[in-house]
Order: sequence, then structure tokens, then C-alpha cells
Amino acid sequence: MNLATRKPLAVAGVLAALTLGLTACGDDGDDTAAGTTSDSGMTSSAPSMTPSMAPSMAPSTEASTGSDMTGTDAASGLVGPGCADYAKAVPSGAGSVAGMAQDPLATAASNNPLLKTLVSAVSGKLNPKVDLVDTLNGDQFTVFAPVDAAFAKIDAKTLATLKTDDTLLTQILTYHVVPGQLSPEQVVGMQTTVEGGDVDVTGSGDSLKVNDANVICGGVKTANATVYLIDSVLMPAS
Amino acid sequence: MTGDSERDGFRGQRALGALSGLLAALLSLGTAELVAALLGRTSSPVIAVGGAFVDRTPRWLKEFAIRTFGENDKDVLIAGVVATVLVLALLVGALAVRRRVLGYAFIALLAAVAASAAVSRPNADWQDVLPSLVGGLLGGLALGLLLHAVSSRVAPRATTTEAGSQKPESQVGVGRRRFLVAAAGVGVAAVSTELIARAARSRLDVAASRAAVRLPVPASPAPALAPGAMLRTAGLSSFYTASRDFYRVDTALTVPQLTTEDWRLRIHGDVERELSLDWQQLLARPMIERDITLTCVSNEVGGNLVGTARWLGVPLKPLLEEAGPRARADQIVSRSVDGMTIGTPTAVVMDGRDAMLAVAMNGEPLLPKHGFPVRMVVPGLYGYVSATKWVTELELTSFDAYDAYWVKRGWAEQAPIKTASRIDTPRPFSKNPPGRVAVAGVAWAQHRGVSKVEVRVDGGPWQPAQLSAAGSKDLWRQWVWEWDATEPGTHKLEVRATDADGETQPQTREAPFPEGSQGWHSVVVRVTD
Repeated sequence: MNLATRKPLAVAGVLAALTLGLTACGDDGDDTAAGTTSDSGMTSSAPSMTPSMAPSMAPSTEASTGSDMTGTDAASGLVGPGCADYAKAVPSGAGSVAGMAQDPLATAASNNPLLKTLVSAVSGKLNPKVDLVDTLNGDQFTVFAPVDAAFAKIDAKTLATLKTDDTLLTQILTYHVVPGQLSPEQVVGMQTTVEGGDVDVTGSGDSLKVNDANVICGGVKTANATVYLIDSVLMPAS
Repeated sequence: MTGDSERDGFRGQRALGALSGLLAALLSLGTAELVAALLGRTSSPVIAVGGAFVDRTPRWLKEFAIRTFGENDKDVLIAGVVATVLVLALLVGALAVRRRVLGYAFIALLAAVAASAAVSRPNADWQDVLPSLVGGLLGGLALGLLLHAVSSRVAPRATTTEAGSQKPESQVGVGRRRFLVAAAGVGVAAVSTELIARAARSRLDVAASRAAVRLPVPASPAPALAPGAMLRTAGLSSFYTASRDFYRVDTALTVPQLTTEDWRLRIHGDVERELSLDWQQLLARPMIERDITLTCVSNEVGGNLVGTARWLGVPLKPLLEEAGPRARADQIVSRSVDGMTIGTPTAVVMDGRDAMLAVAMNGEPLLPKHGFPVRMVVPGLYGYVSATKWVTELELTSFDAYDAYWVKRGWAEQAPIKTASRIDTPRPFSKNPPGRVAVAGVAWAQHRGVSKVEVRVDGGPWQPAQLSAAGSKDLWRQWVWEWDATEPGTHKLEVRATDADGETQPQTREAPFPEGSQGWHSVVVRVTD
């Protein structure tokens, strides 16, 4: 994975995601609509779980962890200057705001075109010894998710270290996770991460900061976690 | 000229008045139905009036109706009552444009007739006047609103000839808009109250139908669980899953409402003899009771779309044998009342496993969301190829000839449940003090059975977990492993299960699509200093 040459904000990725042309969710009753969406879903490589294609994610799934299954109000409660651009770039499909609300965190993130590096880091692709997918999918969390451009700011030497130093990579990644789901109103303040260290969330409204990183778009719901896209990787005090 | 236009005006007014009367009456009826449904009444003012009418009908007319309309006589009666009210409403609405009091009197009379009919029915109490009164009140308000809009629409006309300016023209426009808005509002309200009332009514019917079910004693009761079949580790999933907590996965946007009275099962297609069963006939057959673990194909590794319940039902095999499937019929396509289709291999249903038409779950009639009154259960197959809820039809066909709902969408045609295991405790990213930590969870390999579960820490050697006592091979097993967590820091726990055939679940990850997820579940936790 060549992290150094990654384009800022992955504009190309966003456009690529658009071509998937998945509709959001919820129309299982309608044979034709469901068929159309599932057809395109099948060909995408992501293990997509939008309701019209997966039996489990029919509109009426009740087994999950108190999540917002309808997706209709997923777009409400978003904060950050990048939300409008993201909604415009990915208006529908599994990677859209409504689509992400249907899937567990790691699946939802894998459908988001801005989070390719983060997804490779938590899924054992960057470092085979670090695979947090099941763990991130298994409970309620708040996740500060550095976008690809944030990882591109890290120097090449550090990145190379992370590929082999699983303790350091785990430490950095877990420093981005806070237990429980926190809305934009609740997230402001000092939060203790699952790594053990604290992050300081400051600001209000559309201008939130996590330590020194800016929130691009926050309050994005997944089936089990609330996500805040940030523009820098957070570094725990070692 | 003036005379003509005035006459046209009155004619238009009268038409709008008739429309006002109609809409107000529809709103009255809808509201009355809704209030009756909210009060938990299975009868509404319309039905009460119909009933009262029948009571006063000469016998020859009754017999004529039954002869002519047969089973539909009640629908015809209700349609008659509604049609009568609506025709009267049209007439009275037209008259009420000039004398609004006529309109109010009509609605009051209607409400009074309906209310007295309602309280005169057997088992009625004072609350039964409420639907008629609320309906009448809202109908009256709507009529007043609409007639006011009608007169404000036409009134300026009278001044048009005197003033002769442009202004009245625009006032007419305003009046027309006001009437259209009011009429549309009342119309929408009338339709929505009626629709909501219907939905509520069918829920009431199903609740009553479910409450009236008396479950038969099984001819073959569930085998007793072995001692030690349930482990008691804190944080571990309970052996039986409560019906309310049981996962629900289907395509129904609203839960289909089907009563036992309306339920029929048809077995047809490639069979020697078509069969049709009603609820009483189904219940008269010998029943089996079995503990079975169900799993959804969409369950992710570590997911919770799996659960165990005690099912009571009619075995499918003898029923199908009566119908006599033809040799080429290798697929049973089951249909639910909402049109959902699910395809199950005939050979699997006929191989002696406890495939059944279930009527009860955990000792109670099925909850509506779990398929009341009848659903299919086939041990060992994912739900999307076996567990049809609200099932009303079994069609014998072939896999070549027909693709069921999810198969059309690319999911596998045949889907036995894969061996899987899950860590329930400790929780993801939990902080654990150093010392003994109970690592526990569940494992399933329906219709093969689980023979072994192993756990490892940080990719180290696999350690055998203690398993709960084995029950039927269609059941999951709980497991626990005592971890001596001495080293502070982050640790990764992994689990894998082996089925009774000696096959260990593979490590390679597969997504749920197209035939079920695969891989070892892992949980990362912290051991504190």
C-alpha cells in the first residue's frame, strides 16, 4: 500500500464510489427496486449489507444493538464543514451517510471512500498482527476516524514502523476509540479512550477539534458506533 | 347574462356543497372507525348500524341476501350502509350550502343513530357511543370549514357586478384556493384515519386470534436437557433465547397480520394429490416439540443473528408424503402471506430431521413478528432457505424451474449452516484486572453438532475450552475457558469450533454473501496493570 502518494481527500475514490450507484435502503418490499440495488451490490467487492441486498438487514432487523436501522434520520445531527461535500460526493449507497448507518462499524468504514488507509490498518492489511474488525463491530463506540489525507501527512518512516510494530499500531488505533456512542453534543470535553489515554474534544457546532485535529464531518452513525472523520492522526502520549 | 352567471354560481355552489358533504361524511366514518379501533373494539359504528339493520330486516330479505351474496353478505351489508350514508351526505351537502343548519342536523342525526345502534348491540357499554360522537363532531367541524370556504368563494361574485373592478376576480381565486386546500385536507384526513383504523383493527384481530389459541400437547415432547447443558458464566448468552429478544430478519415492512381463522396452507405443484389444510386440521395432527438453534445467513462473524428456542409443530415429512412429491420435485418453494418465497431442498426436509410447520415458540403461540400463526423451521439450514414465516403455501417444484426471492438476488441456492463460534465475554476493548478471566461464548454447527471449541491468546497455542453438555445436534453449545491473564496490555482472544464430523471452521474470512460468513471470531481486550 503506497501511502505517500495517496491523493488528499481521495477525490477520485469519491467519484469511483458514485459509479456504484447503489440506492440507500429500505425498499425490500419492492421486488424491482431491491433487485436493481442488489445486482450492483453483488459486483462490488465490499461485503455490502444495505438492506435491499442482505437478508439480515431487511428493514425490520431487531437483533442488533439498539441501532438506527431506518437510516432516515441518519443525516440529522451531523456536524462539520465537510458534511455537505461528503453528502454531495456520496449521496447514496453503502458508503453514504444513510448507508453507513445500516452496517457495523468496520463494514461501514470499508464502504467509505475516505477511509481506505484506516480500514487497511484495522483489518490486518497494514500489519497482519493487528486486526480489530470484530472488536470494533462488537460493541458501542465513538470513533475518531482519520481520513486518508491524514495518514498521508505521516512521514514514511513512521508508517514503515507501523507495518511491523503491532504494539505501536494497536496503541495508536485504540487511541481513536472511546467506549459508548457520543453525539456531537456529548462528545465535547475530555474523553478517555480504550487505549487508556485521554483525548480533548473542543469547540462547538461545525468547528470541533480533537486534540489538534479538525473534525471534517462528525456524528456519522453506523449500526454500532458514531464516527467523526478527522484530518490528522491522533498520537497518544507514549 | 347576470342571471345565467348567478344560476351557474348557484349550481357550482351546490356541487361544491355536495362534495363538502361527502368529504365530511368520509371523515366522520374514518374517525369513528379509528376511535373504535383505539378503544379496542372489533366492531365500529358502521358495523353496529349494519347489525341493527339486520335485526330489523324481514326474514325474506335476509334469506335473499344470503342466497345472492353468499359468504360476502356481510361485506355487501357494510357497503350498503356506507353507500347510503354517502348518498345522503351528497344531497344534504348540496342543500346545506344555503342552510348550513341542515348539514349540522344531518350529521347530528347520523351520529345519534350510530351511537344508539352501537349501545344496543350485545356486549356494548357506554364507551361505544364515543366513536359516533367523535366522528360526528369532526364531521361537523369539517363541514363547517368546507361550507365556509364555499361561501367565501362565491360571495365576492355578488359584488362583482357592482364594483366592476379586477379585485373580485382575484378574490374568487383566493376563495377557490381556500376551498381546494380545505377539501384536500379533509380528504387526506379521512383516508388516513380509515387506513390507520384498518391497520389497528387487523392487529386487534390477530391479538384476539393469538389469545384464543390453545396449544396441543406434543405427541413427541422435547427431550430433557442433559445436566450441565447450560453454563452460568456472567456475560454468556443464555441457552434459550427469549422470543421477544430473538433476532428478526425478514423483508416485511409491516408485520403481516394473519388470523388462525384466515390461515390456510396449500400444498401443490409437482405432487400426486394437492392438499389444503386449515388451522383446525393442522392442530389435529400429531405434534413434535424440539429445541433448535436458528441462524441467519447474514450473521457476520461474531454477530447476534442466531438464537435457540423450543419449537412446537407438525412434522413436514408425513404431510408431504400425503401429497406425494414427484421425483423431479427437488425444491419446496414456500410462500408467506406477503408473497415472500423461500426454496428448500426436498431431500433435506424428507431426510428424517425435525423439519416442521411450527405453531409455537418457547411454549407460546408464535409472536406475529415471528410468523404467527404458522412458520417453517428446518434444522441445519440458514433461515433464508428454510424458515418461512406466515407460511400459506408449499409448492413442489425444481431448482431448475424456480429461483426463490434471495436466490434471484445472487444468494446461494442451497445453504447449510456453517460451523461458527462467538466470544460473548470479555467484551471488546474491555479492561480486565490481571488474574483469572473467564472467556466464554457459544458455538453452533446445526445438524452436525459441535464437538470441540478452542481459544488462543495473541496467536499462541490453541487451548481446549470446556463445553456445555451436548444436547441434540441441532443445538448450539456454550463454552468457557479460564484465561490466566497475567501480562498487562492489549491482548487478542480468538475462538474456533470443530463439528462432530471433525471439521474445524476455516480461518479464511468470508462475508455473509452469498452463503454465510466464515472465519475465527476475535476480541481485543486490555489487561490492566
